[in-house]
Amino acid sequence: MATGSTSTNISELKKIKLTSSEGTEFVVDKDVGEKSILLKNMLEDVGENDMAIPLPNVTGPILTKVIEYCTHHRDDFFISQDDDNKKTSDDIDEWDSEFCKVDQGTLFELILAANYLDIKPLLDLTCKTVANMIKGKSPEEIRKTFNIANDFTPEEEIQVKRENEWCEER
Amino acid sequence: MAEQEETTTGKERIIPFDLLPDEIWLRIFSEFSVSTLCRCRRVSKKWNTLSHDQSIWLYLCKSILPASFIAKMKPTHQIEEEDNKNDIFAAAINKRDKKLSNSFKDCTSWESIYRVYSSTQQNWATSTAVRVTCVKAHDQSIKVLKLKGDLVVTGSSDNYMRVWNVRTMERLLEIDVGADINSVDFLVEKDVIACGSYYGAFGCKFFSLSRGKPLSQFMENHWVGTQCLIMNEDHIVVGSHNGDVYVIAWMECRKVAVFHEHRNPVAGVCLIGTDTVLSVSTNGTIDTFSIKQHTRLHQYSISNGMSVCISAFDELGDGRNVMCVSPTGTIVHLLWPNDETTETVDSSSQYFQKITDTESIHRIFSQDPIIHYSNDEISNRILCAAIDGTFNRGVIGPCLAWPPRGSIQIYDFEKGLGRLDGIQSPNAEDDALANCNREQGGSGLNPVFTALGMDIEKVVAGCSRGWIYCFELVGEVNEHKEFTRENQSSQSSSPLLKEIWEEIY
Repeated sequence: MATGSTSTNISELKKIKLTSSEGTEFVVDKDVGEKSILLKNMLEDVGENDMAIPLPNVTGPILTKVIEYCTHHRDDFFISQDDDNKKTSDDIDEWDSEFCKVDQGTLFELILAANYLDIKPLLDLTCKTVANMIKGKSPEEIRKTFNIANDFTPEEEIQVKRENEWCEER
Repeated sequence: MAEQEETTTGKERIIPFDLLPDEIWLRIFSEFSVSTLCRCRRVSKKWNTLSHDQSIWLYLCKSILPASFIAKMKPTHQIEEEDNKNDIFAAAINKRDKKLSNSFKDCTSWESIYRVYSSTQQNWATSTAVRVTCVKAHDQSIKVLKLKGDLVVTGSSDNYMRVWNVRTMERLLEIDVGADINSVDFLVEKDVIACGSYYGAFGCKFFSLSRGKPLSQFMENHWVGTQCLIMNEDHIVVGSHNGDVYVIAWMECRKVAVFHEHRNPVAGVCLIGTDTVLSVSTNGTIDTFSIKQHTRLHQYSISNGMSVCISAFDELGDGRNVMCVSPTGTIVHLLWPNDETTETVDSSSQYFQKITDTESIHRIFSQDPIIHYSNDEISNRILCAAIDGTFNRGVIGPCLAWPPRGSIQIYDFEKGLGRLDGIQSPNAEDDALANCNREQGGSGLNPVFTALGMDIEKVVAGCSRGWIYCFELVGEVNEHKEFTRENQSSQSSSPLLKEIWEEIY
């Protein structure tokens, strides 16, 4: 993991404390923590402070994963990606794709955590992973995968199918 | 967050994915292709609703459509009010049957725009017309035709000039010009039609577009007759038989400039921005002029000494696309590249970026264009041509190619100026077209297409027997079949057909 040349900057070596929903305390480098826009804004508002930031919506195991992600990408320049040149879901890099090889429960929580902590690249990555789970599946397979109840009446189902025939053939 | 799971571990727990906030699902859905998205609609009611979200479809539209097109396209419910302003023919045009037309203008959502666009592209690629309509517009050959939106102005050897709504084929106006006109242009917002004739004494006449009343006439002693003309809000540019290119401030009928560079008749003129004139001479030279500076900016000669009989311009774009046709049937496409747009990744964007400031236009047209020759020659003479710079297509009408089915050829410049099939309509038997074929092919010489106009949705063609045809390529072919059946069942819905039959028998 690259800590490299940037770590000569003293301010970046500052640590911050985070508390997960179970009350476990995590200590991370400030630059890693600031990958989360939520934390970054919070730190800016609060200023220099030794208090641990409580994250009641994030469990310990998930926070560990999030920190792992942010640490790996600590030197990446997280630009606010313009929706117009968003990468397609095919080009997930190797480390990221390994990172997402988790059970569905973890993936689900990672999405919520990324959304809550406002870490766009992680949110993009996890959403793409879910998207890839949906691609190429039939509606029935999708329902099974995500445990979704079919709330269409048979008539409605036929109608929706007919309405959308135009794009299936292409 | 209320969506947290209740049991922390355990293999059999149910992951409540369905409880993810809508904005997360929209983010996931935005990764999908159209076919995946539509499949997702069948999963549940919630997914069905989510996958109709405008943001997803706008994103999909952005992936296939040029930005300039997106900027112009707004689903209709958003622009309805301003649409009806300033347009003297708005009422007439709005009368058209919404059900029959499936134009971009009628789209109410980004999804319908996407859908109409993708099927329209398919139609262009396969040269398939969704709908063909026609009307007997003049007693004699149509010499010139100008298409702008749904309006078309036709000029004929029968000395009349007529204005049509091409969707309804309704005649909106008739002007007895008293001469055989060969060139016409109009501006809806200025309420003016300009026309010119081979006869020098005709000069250049202006009429009101809404009332047909004569407004003014430009005349000069040495006027040798018009070959072509084009107008904008300030100027009208006229190309003449002897090669002179006149620039006239049409409101005051005042001559602004004359360029004497060409020695041969002018095959076509185009106005680019407010100050630049592009003219094509029949000997194959292409000149650009600055009106204010009274100077020539650049001259370019199409190689091989190719002569030009027809040139077509993309007036809705910025004039950087020009198509020239030689009397022997060679087709040449010229493109002046906009070097400022090279930074954009999208290779096609160079066509779409519209430039407006005079300096950039001068710079662009001060260089040689990129030139493409057609692979194969059309053995027949080509009588008319038109291009659409938004999606880089051209159409040509070769001589002696009747019936209309398969006779107008579409060229796709982006695919290397390949020759495509002529326009066909799978519904020709149901259409007015079939009747017209019968009428036209019935006796004597076969008629030919003599004038063409096109835009992203349609091709309008005028023929030597005075008919105009509108080939609409926008929308879905299948839908049309249903409509046609409906039409046949109700008697009143096809007055056009009836009229044609009455005329024949």
